[in-house]
Amino acid sequence: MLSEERQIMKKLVFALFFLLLLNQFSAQETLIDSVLIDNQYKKTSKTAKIENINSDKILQNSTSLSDLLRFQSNIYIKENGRGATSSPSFRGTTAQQTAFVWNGININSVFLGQSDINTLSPQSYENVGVKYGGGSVVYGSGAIGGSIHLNNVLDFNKGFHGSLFSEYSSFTTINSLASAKFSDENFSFNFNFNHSQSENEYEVEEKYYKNRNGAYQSSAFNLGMAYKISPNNEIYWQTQLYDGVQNYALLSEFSTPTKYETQNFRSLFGWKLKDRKISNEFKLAYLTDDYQYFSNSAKNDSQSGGASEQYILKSDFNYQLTQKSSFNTILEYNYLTSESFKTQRLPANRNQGSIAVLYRNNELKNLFLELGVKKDFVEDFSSPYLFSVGANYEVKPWYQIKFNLSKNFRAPSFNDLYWVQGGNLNLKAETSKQAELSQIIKLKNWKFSVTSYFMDIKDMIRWLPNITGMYEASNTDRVKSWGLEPQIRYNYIKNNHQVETQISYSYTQSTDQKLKKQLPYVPFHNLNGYFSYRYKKYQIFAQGIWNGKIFSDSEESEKSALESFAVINGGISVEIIRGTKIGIKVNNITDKVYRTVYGYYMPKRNFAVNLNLNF
Amino acid sequence: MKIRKLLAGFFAASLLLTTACKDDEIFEDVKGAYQGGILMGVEGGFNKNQAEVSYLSSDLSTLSENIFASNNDNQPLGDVLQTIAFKDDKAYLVVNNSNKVEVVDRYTFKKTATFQAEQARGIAFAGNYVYVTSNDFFSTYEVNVYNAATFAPVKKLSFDRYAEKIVNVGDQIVVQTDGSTYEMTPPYNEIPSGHTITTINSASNTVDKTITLTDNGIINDMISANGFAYVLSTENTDSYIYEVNTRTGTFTSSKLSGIRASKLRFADNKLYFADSDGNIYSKGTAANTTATKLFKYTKTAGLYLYGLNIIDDKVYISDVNFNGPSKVMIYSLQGSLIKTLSAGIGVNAFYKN
Repeated sequence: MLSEERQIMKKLVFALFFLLLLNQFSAQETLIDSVLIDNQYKKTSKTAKIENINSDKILQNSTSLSDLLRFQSNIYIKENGRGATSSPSFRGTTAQQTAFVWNGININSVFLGQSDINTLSPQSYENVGVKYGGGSVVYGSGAIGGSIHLNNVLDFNKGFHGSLFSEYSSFTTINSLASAKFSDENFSFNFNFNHSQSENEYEVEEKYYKNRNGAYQSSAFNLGMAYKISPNNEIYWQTQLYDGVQNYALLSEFSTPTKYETQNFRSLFGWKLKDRKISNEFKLAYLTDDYQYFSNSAKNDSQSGGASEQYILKSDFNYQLTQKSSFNTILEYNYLTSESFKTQRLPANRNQGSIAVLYRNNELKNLFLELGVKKDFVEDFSSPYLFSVGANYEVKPWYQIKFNLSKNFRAPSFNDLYWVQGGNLNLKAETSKQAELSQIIKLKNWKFSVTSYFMDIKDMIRWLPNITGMYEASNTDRVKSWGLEPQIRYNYIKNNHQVETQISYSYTQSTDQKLKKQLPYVPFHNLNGYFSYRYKKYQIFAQGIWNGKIFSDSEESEKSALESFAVINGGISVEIIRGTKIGIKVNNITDKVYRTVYGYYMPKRNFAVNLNLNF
Repeated sequence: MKIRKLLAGFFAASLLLTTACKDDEIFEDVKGAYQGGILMGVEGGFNKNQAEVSYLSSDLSTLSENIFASNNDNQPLGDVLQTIAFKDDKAYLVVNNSNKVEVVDRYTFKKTATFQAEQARGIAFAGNYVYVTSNDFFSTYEVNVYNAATFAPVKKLSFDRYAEKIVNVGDQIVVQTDGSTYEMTPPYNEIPSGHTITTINSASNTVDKTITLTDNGIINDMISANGFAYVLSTENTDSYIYEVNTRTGTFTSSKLSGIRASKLRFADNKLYFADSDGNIYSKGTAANTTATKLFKYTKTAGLYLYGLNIIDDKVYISDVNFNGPSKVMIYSLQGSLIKTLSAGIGVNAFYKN
């Protein structure tokens, strides 16, 4: 008897230990027990390549979301100097072909069809997810190269947790964050305020580059609440208020200073209803996106701008056919309204809706299957039928294959349609077909993965001179891309030692089919690495990237090419008393001269000190 | 063997030297590497600090790129090279989005001075002054007057709607004070801002005359030649060339029926221009002469004619799209293609140096 009990105990302890190990394996995979507002996110990750960036890494890259993505993913970030306009080049696609998703809602600008990464504060989120590859069936327009997920978490039963973070760094930069969370059985509260500002004056003498007039500041206020009305009913509400000013760096001492101001309000209300066989999540969202551009910061009348409002109604209905298979229907209605001032863009409203149906099946022990179809209905132009097919096959406990095939799209932006002159009301949506295969091997502390993909993008919208020499939007380009993304991860935990290492490489070929050349700003080679070692109260970490040569024009011309570069950041932190950490960080340790877009250089070696209080 | 080769080399070199010496006796002294030949303005992409100047030798055999940076410690020239003008042995490089004018020795390209000029568009010289147009296309339409020796600002003349091309006709300064604007309401069509050019008295630096042209087109070019200002104005289907006597303010005009003309040039006592299809025309200066189509240049798909000039009986054309290097084509006046070059980003002009 006793021995049996012991056996069970042993098994339990082992299981617990194993779970613990798994849990610690990678902080990137601990999302399992936190409740993301975006209810589709975890489902999506079953068949697609997703990297989760946790709050530790967010704080290690607290300067900007640009820095975070640059060092923690294979996305090439084009930044017009530190803190200024910044856009992604994800798997060889354009900035409009990456969707930024806030708690499950696509927030790319209605006007531009893209997001300025530096107007999205990373500290506002508990988790930043990078989903590689297309995902328009669930995440809508623009999810072609991939999507960036800005996720808030509303947990239950976690008690109180407060934290304060403050960082002071070179070029008179201050990044700070205050957050408080409270949750009991039925109620959850999450508050976060963060502020970032910098005079941002730096110099790259070798290139006669001065980041003049580069100051920026931004504040974001986030509030989330959830309440369990009954075991089957839960309501939640997440809101964000963002306000930012970016002064654009001047290329000459005489240049006219310009600036860009952004205000966003995002609010999402949700109601989860859960029964044995059915569950429904009803969402209501209201988003505003306002910007003002000053072509001369000193003159108020040089201001031009735009404002957009979006109302979204969404119903995410899940019907459990059997215990292991389900139908999921997502209905969405979206009303968009916009106006512009001193901008030659027609005022426009748009009604749009979509129906998506997903079927998921896990009947076979090692195989998860997902099929999805979607049709968008967008006023004024026809959008394509979309589909997705995904599979996750666990060949062996240590060997897993993920496969997916999908058709995705990017709707023309309001600028593409309504800009005068040159906007074109006859535009079609850009479409992309994609196939992706990931193979993952997990051995003890090691994880190896290789993802390969192929993409065929049609009707890509480009602004080109027409017959009279005037620029006009048209569906001209066709781009085929393929790539290979191997990754190695090693994590080790024993006693007080904890090591976390990851190296990711990406090879990207993205060819304009007419010119037979690589698309601008798509590096063929990108390598990034992360290393962290923790011993008791001490932590040391380093992160680095290397990019091969980057062509900045469409003809692969050497004279417009950007030099390849390698940049390494590193830091240490010490927990001086329980819950209080101090840290030092050195960015660009080797003092490299580098740039990510043609005209603007990034800072050379610079420093940061920070204080992090947790209570 | 080696010594023989060396000797042969030495011999050849001394021969060259002697020939060069002989040339010197006939021609002027060599003032710098860029004397003779063609300068090309390389506009560069907007906000890329990519402006430059290239030099093409007079026999068209050698193209030297980035001659500003290479002669000035690798400093970038700036952002958006708008135009280049010459006075004596200096070249004035108007760098629009860098709000400045760089003054260089036109033959060595060594920088001699820099002065500030807000949203500079054009430059002209008269007497002891330098005149620069400034146009931000929303509220500033000015001519800034500078001291020609110190480049200290002297005076500012403001206009109501436009300030673009600027030339001197004798000691008079002539400014293009109208161009295009957009309707304030949808569909925001491009319309003429007005139909005026304005003369400035360079002795007093005051406005002399405002001359109103008689068509309904958009003024899109103005040059100085033969003691007149020639103005090109383009309507939807037809265009007009005016020969303006800037002293009296009187003018004659000739209509170019069915031609949407642009880029007015003057060479060898003739006017030249292009149309939107890429046809190149020549025309006598007198109002009653008709335009002759010389040839149509072979457009590269999706690109358009950006720079045009006629130098020593050759037509220089740049085909530009800003997504890659410019294609420069050199034609004879009869339209036979002499040479094609791949040059910088946005080649916008050719100048004889």
